[in-house]
Amino acid sequence: MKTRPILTKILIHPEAISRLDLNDWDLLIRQARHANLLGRLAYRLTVCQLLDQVPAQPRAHLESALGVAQRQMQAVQWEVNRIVQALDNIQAPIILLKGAAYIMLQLPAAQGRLFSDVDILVPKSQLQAVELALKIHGWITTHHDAYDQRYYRNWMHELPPMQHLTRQTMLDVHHTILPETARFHPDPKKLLEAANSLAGYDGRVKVLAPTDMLLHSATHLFHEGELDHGLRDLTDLDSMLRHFSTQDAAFWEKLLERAKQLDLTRPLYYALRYTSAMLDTPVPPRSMRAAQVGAPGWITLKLIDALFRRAFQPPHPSCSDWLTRPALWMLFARAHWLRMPMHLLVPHLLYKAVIAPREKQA
Amino acid sequence: MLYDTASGDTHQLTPMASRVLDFLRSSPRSHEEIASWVLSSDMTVVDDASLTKVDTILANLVALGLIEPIQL
Amino acid sequence: MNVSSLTARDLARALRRDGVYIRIGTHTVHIQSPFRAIANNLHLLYADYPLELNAAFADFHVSVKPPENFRRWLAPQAIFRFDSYVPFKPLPADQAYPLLEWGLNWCFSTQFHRYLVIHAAVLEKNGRALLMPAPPGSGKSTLCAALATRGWRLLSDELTLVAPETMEIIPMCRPVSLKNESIQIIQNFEATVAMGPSAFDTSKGTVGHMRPPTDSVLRSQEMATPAWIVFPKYEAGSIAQLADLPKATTFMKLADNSFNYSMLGLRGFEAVAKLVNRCDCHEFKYSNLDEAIAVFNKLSEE
Repeated sequence: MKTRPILTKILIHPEAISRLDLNDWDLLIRQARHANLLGRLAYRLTVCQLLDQVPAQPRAHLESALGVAQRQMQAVQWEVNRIVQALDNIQAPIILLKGAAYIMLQLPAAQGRLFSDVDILVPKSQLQAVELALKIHGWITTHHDAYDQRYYRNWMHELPPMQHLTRQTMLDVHHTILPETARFHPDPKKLLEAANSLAGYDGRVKVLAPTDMLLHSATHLFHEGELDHGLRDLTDLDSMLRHFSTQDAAFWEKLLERAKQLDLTRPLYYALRYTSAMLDTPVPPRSMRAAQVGAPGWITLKLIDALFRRAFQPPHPSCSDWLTRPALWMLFARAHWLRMPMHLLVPHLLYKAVIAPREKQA
Repeated sequence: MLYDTASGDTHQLTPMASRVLDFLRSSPRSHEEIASWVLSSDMTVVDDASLTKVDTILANLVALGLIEPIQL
Repeated sequence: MNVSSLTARDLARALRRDGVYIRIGTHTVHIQSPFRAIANNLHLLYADYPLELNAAFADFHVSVKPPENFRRWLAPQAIFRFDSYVPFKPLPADQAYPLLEWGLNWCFSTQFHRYLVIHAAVLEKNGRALLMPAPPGSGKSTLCAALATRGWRLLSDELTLVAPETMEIIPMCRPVSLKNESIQIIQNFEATVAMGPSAFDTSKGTVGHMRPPTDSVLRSQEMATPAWIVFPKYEAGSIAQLADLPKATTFMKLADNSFNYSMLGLRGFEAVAKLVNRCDCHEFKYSNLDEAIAVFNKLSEE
């Protein structure tokens, strides 16, 4: 493997900033900004009490990102407050997913991280009532195009994204954690049963159990094809693995056990493989060996390695080669292939390729 | 001028609205309590309309997310 | 080394190859562009600015380049990039220079939240700064350009950067962007101003840039203390006149005119509150530039 990009090096070993000159800082800030990790970097340096050692020019950009991230956390907390208020009459708990959960639990993965939208999970039986309640309280449906509507509702695992009229914030309402058409079928019931109540909401708001949160995040990253923020999402996994395993000595065993129960050993294998390879996540050798049950055949693995190692570089010209673009495209196509049966996939990709661009021009 | 650290919104409140908000800051109150407090204080409203006016103010404060209605 | 240390040809060559680092006050931008119009404009308008061919750090790395596909031969276009990110649609190539200036404004107003950034012109006299926030069409830039030619130090015609902790205003002194008839008005007002070539048919009409006074450029590391907030409005036939503006109204208008007020959260609220509290707040109507300048000069002597 090539030498690590400066961004990954410093995220792993923040104390190494003492050896950086202004040229290095220039590259570091550029890589971090393009990887959407400027806030995370700033936060790491703050926690390690290193921010004061940063030269004034790059420090201004780190301080800027820190402020933006703090404001975003405040905004997400408020958004959750408003959503809970709007769904007051729904007879089922609301499960917060992804960023909103990290923020409400104040996980290290939330710190310095920018989240553009809030994701919630509700039982499929409550979906209509939830949509109605949200509409009454000022959320509107985006994607008015009939094809897009059908795509989201029938084939995906969510309502089309909703947007609040005055606050302009985006909300994704899911009823299962993966598309119903996907290859993996983790039973949403199992996730709901294991979910934990969020303090202060009388059991009305829940978050996934730590193992499930990790598996959900991994499944998204390795099977959804949205790798524009690949490195950032990988640092989320790294951060959660480090945090949960410190909180609970039995976390690694529970994680493997849970992956088997939920039929998600493949994404778990990838999560452990790439976090430890790219970010030095301290995965115990025993757990790494046990996770091999989820490994694909060696030929597939070689190919997947070549793709993901490119996808997890900072998206900056200084870190890409001529294969970066084809690799990202192949991962995108792979995700669609994993998500849908072939007879659905071909029409969808065709529709996206042929019809959608034409409409955009109109 | 008021900055709401929960929502991140800035509000420009009328003197009466800001007094009602101050009054509610210590503990939750009923509509009647708020109305009689408004009447007894040296505010200029001293008519029967005050109860409706308090209702309007409370509704506005709820809409802004500054207060929440609860069952007493 | 200054921009004027290079010939226009050498500057064009450097811009085409590895780019140049120009220091704008306390900030540095790295610019790359093969467009000759950009080299010419920079050579004229940024003549007094410190320049390096290979600086260690730049706050923003930007470029304005033609597209790489076949379009370059059909209808020449210019694309602004912030590193590899493209924030706007391409523009016709003859708008390359305004595109660069707009791109830099975009960088400082949306990618950098170290300061409270207000959409306002800001000038200084006798150590005290005059902030003029105003929507487009209020004559803010014309008034700003006129004041800059009459002894007021130009800190910015477009972006006022306020440090929330110290309330100092950080100079962002760049060429003054003038639109349509304002270009001629300023050339008539002060014959000695240097004006770059105009770009026609832009989204803002005809756009031309005025070279900032040398003194303002040389002093662009020098912070200023805010003293007045004035919302100017050009009104044909009116007599130059200041009217007091209530602090609460000023607060709301200032927040509205800020790019990152809400992004700064409580810090933004406190910064605007401090700013409004320490400044005299006015509305200002004018139709004649000499009269307007007399009013501001009087203000600066009080």
